[in-house]
Formats: sequence, structure tokens, C-alpha cells
Amino acid sequence: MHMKDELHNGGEHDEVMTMVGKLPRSIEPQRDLWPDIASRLDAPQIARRRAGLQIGWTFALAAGLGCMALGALLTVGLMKRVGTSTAPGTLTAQTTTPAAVPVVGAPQVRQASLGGYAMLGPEYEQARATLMIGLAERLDRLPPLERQKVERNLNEVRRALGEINAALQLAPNDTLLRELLLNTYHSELTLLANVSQIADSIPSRTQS
Amino acid sequence: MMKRSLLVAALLCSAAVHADEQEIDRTLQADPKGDVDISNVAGTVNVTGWDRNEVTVTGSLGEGVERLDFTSEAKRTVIKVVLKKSTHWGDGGDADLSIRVPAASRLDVNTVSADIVVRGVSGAQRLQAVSGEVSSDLAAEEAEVKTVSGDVILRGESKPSVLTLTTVSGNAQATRIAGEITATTVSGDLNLSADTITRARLRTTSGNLSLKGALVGDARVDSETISGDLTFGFKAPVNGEFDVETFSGDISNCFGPKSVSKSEHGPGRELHFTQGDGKASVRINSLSGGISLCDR
Repeated sequence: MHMKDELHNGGEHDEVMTMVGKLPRSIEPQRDLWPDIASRLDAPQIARRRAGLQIGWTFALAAGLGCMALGALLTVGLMKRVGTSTAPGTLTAQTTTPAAVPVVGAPQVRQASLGGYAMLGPEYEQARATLMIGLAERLDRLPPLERQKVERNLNEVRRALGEINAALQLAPNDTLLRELLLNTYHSELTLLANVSQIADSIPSRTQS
Repeated sequence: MMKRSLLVAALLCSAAVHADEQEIDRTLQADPKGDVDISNVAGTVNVTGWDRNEVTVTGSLGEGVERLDFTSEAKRTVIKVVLKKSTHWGDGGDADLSIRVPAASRLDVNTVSADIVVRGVSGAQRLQAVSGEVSSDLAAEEAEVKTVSGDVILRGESKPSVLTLTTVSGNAQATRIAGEITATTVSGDLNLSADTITRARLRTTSGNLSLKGALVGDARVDSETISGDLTFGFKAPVNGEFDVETFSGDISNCFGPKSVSKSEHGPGRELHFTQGDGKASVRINSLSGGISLCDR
């Protein structure tokens, strides 16, 4: 990796860690949840099969996603540090086709939502946006065909998020949909982290 | 005459191509339970375990390869193919490596398009490829396999182990596995056949998934898909508590009760029942993908 890139990544790492520090320890729901909670506490037992998920689910989801964002950022930050500390004197990044290859659905930052029921906090959005920016750099290290496959699959995950969100418009209180949504956001972050890790560990080239 | 000329030309071309290839045959002493880190970009990586405390590397390096780094210090052996900077993807950077390692070595193999084949290694394995295919005999207690689009073929030995399998779009097939498995894919298909299952955490976005095996004791299976189809074949007798739910997909069950509608107006189905002593827990969710359960 060029010295300039290392410095750049080091600065970005600091920036990421600063953002991680700014992540909230708790996220307030955007409306009063108690009336809904109270009504569900009185519901028949069969409807409370997943009471743990239903009570304060918005809080749980938001907190869970905050933890995921934190975890993903820490993972990426750690990988960057590892990446810059290994193989001194070698190039670990090789930009092969940044502009020549048409990108199918370049990484985009979209606002994450919980089915229109609640929006995730700005800190989460910012953290996710940072991951997406880092992803674009890493995708450049992959062979063009693989880069396109990753992008197609990221779009696949986003399509899935869209489907779940659309379903939540029809059934906003469906616990299955909420759980699928949370897990799909998790999948998106996991995919980003995995691709970052794979791209970071691509074997190196010499500088000659 | 014409044929002979063509033959001579072909031989000359072949000789020219091979003239740029470099044959390698190197050996180093290694710890019997040490770490062996291997990285290659394109070509093949064949790793075989043996009963000697040494690592050997044989094979050929293509013209785009700058050098092969091969070092062994303390408990770590490193085999690394380094390409010339001018080498682009798919442009002479192939290296075909046959590597022999002490059988109990811990393996860490990392490639871009190079295929990975592992045989007879009982230490932990961490195998990662971008588009290369991965094939391994899983004698290890722990294995982590990760690809972007490469297909994966794993063969266990029915010994309890911990397997983590991740692909983005690659298909994966694992047979004779046992113990804990975590498998994730976006659009690839997962085909898993286990002798015994103690923990399984499985997730696809649009890929299909099939899991066969016997639930053991308080086994836990958590599986989820958005639009893929999930098929489970649990070996009889089945003892478990089942919670299966879809938002709009179908549920079929060849044992126990049939699924019911979640509501009068919605398309969703659900199936909750206990089979046998109910010790195991099976939880399966889907948005629109179909779910199929059977006890064979």
C-alpha cells in the first residue's frame, strides 16, 4: 500500500473510531410506545409467543442495529489497522478498473428505516454511510466480474429490504416482518464487513 | 506436410509459453501443529497433510508472478505468491501449488480466483477465495470457509465440529458434517447433509437451502430466508419443538400437523407443534420463500 494510502486509511480509521464514539448508548423511540405495549400485555398468551420481541421492539431493534453498526465499524477499523501493519513495502491494494468497468448499481447510501414505523437515528445512518464509502474503495480491489457480483448481491439484499418494508406497510405490527427486517439489515452489514475483509486480504503485488 | 507444420508451430508456441514458467520444489522444517498461511491469486492451491514435520511446495509459477515467498519461523510457515505490479487479473499471474504440510497444521488459505483443495489436514482450517472454488475434507474441529462467488464442496468425517460457511453468490455443498454449523449466503444455494445436528444457524436472502440430518438432544436450528426455498429433512425419530412462520410463502410438512393461515385476510402461514419429547428447538422464518419439512 502506498504511504499516502496508509496515511489516508489511518485518518479514516481515526474518523471511524470517532464516529463509533459518537454512537448513542441508547436510542429513544420516536413516539410513545406505552399504549401499544400495555394493550399487548393484555393480549392472549398465544399472541405473546414472542413477547420478548414485542415489548419495546423499536427500542430493541434500534439498539440492536446500533450494536451491529458499532461491531461492523470496529471490525472494519480493526481490519484496516491490520491491513496497514502487515506486508510492509508491498502493495496490498491494486486499483484495476475503477472507471473502465461499468458498475451495476454502484453503492448508494439509503436511509434505513424500520418499515416506516420508525426511522433509525442519524448516528446509525452516518455509520452505515461510512461503511459504504469504505466499501467503494475495497470493491476496486476485486476483479471486475467479482465486483459486479458483489454489487448485484448488495442490490439483492436491498431489494429484500424493500420487500420487507413494503410488507410492513400492509402489516405494521407483524413481528415476523420486524424480525426479518432486523436480520436483513444485519445481513447487509455482515456482507459489507465480509467483502471488506476479503478485499483487504487479497494477495499483494510488488512495487517494481 | 501442412499437418506437420502446424504441429511444429504448436510445439514451438507451447515451448514459448512454458519458457516463462518457473518450476519450484522447496522444503522447510515446520512445527507439527504450527500455522501454515498460504496466499495465491490465480491457479490452484492443493494442500495435503502428511506425517512429516516439514512443508514442501512444488508446482509452477506463471510469467506474471514476481516471486514465491516461503518462510518458516517458530510455529508459522508462510507461502505467498507475489505478482508483478504490471500483472492484471487473469494475465499470467497463475501459480499452481502443491503443498504438503504436517497433518495437524492449522491452515489459512487465501486466494482470489485460485481453486483451493485440502485433503488430510486435521487442524483448524480457514479457507477464503473470491471466485475460486473451495474443496476440503473436513477432519478439523473448526473450519471457516468464505467465498464471494466461488462454489464450496466440503466433506466431513461425521465428527462433531464447528463449521462457519459464508458465500455471497457461490453455491455450497457439505456432506457428513456434524455438530455446529453457521451458513450464510445471499443468492447462492446451500445444500447441507449432516449426520448429527447440535446447532445450526442458517440464513439466505434469495438462495435456496436444504438441510438433512438428525437432531441431537437439545439441538437448536434457526433458519431464515427472504425469498429462497428452505427444505429440511430431519431423520426420524424427530424430537423437537417447531416454530415455523412465513409472511406469504407456503409451508409443507410430511409429519405432524399441517400449517394454518396466520390471519383471515393475509397470505401468511404458520406451524407450531411439538414432536416426540420436544427437546430440540427448530425455528424457521421466511418472507415469501417456501418451507418444507419432512422426517426422512
